[in-house]
Amino acid sequence: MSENREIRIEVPVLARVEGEGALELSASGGQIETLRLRIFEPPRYFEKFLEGRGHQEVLDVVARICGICPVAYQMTAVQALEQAFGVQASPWVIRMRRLMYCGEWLQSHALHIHLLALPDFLGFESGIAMAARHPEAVRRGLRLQRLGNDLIRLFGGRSVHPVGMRVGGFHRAPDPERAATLLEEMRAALPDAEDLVAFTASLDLPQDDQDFTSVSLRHESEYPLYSGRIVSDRGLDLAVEDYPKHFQESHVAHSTALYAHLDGEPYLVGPLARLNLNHDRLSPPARAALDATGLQLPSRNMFHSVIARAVEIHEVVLEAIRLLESYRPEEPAHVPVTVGAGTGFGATEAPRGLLWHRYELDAAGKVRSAQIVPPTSQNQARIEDDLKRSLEAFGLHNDDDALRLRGETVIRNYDPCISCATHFLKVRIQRR
Amino acid sequence: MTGDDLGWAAIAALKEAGLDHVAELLFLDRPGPALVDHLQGRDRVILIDAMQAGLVPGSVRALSHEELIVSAHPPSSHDLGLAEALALARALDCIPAHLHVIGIETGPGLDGETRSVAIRDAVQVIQAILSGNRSGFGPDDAAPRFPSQRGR
Repeated sequence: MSENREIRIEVPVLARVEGEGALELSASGGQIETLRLRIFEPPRYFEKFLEGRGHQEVLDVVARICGICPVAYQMTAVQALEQAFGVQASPWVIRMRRLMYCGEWLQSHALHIHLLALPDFLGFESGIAMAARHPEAVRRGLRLQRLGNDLIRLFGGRSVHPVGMRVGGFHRAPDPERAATLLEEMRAALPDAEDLVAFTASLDLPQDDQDFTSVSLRHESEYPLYSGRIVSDRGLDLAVEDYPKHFQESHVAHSTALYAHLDGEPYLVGPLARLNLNHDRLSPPARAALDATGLQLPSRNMFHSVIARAVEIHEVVLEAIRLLESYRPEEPAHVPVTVGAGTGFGATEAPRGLLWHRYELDAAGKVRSAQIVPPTSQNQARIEDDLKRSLEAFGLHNDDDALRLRGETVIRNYDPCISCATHFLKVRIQRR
Repeated sequence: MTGDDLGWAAIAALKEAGLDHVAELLFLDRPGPALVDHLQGRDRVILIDAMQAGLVPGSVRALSHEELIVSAHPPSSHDLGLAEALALARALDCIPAHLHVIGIETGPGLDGETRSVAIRDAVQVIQAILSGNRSGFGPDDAAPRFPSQRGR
């Protein structure tokens, strides 16, 4: 099939991603003319819902933005609220927040690798179809995902929209016996996590190096989850509150989600960006397992994201073990909070990448304004850029079904959450 | 959604009726794929959930898990419901030999009285299953009968 033919591809429903969107592509003379990741899910207006709400309601409201990463939204909001009130959480609270966050990364990454991404790389329509041929791989994913949910439940009472967090800390400290049980389960899961790194590195992933800017948090000593400065591999190094000086959100006609650019250019957030910028912050066992794969970092191949997620699963299992081994309950599990007017900023690493919040509160602690920049919004421009380069590198001579599958694979590789960004993908192909 | 907790309410009512001595009663909060874990190694399971099947709110129905599986679509991380979890369980060969799925219709018309009647109806159906008058749970393999037949 000639790559010089005129092509128009529209994918009206993209499977295995969250939300409602579409991919539209037209090409002529071997060149892509237009490519749009069209997001048409209605806006969800969470920032407006928050206006006028008391600070106690914020964590419950923002958790509803996403059923997979509610902890990320709560962690980021609580940071901002505490900054606004001049509250300094105790070192115990900071450690416990990091521990709880490990649970969210574990469940989210395990689900994405095993049920959403692997079918693309092993040649199946879905994780369910793959399960019959690769039951052990799927069972491993389910074990890791359940363990992550159990860790969230330890702090939050439930794994979806947890309720344990509050400004200043937690409503109560977890039961030591339950923590001890979870520690043993985490230790038992360590071989699964180690095996997963080697397993993902052994996959026959497409080779498609691209030039892109990686952005993530960077902590002075830890692999970034809960805190750090905002850095890029192009020299950016910002305090969290300075994010708006370099990052701009804007509307585009084909998307109900805002796009974000770094000084006018697309950029990448998420597991590969984090690993590119922070592989020296991995714990020694995670670093050793990564080194054993032979993966060279920084990587310019977006398909290495699946390996990055596996490395991060290994890291958070190790980190959860470390934190659970030293776990002692503290009561009260929070510091006192004095409400007052102020503005606060928060930034954490959600499973899908950097999540940034800003809140302005009045003297009664009610929200005057809120701004939430989720990872998928930040990745939208990068996804479109990646699609254009990937499909041209893949070859426009391929038939429509092959082009459609490659396009969907590229998008799923980002684990986008359009519901967070506003939902996802429908693809239609037309040739002229 | 109003009435999304009907399954939980039915479990609470079963517990109140003392049936936790007869069966292990579990409240599962949006388990997604973790439902597979709960089915693994079990021989006899009753799943109770709120449903929207276009029936009159409060209707109680036995659902075929095979039909549910047929309705499953490729899951996303955020959208892995009962049908997808059962499809995954079947692919992993861990569907219990005797699996009953009881759906309780919810919707905007579910007022307090309708809700109470629906939960009472569901409890009666489940009691009948547990007492051995339903397929797989006793000698009588007759198809379940429902005290409420609304929406037919």
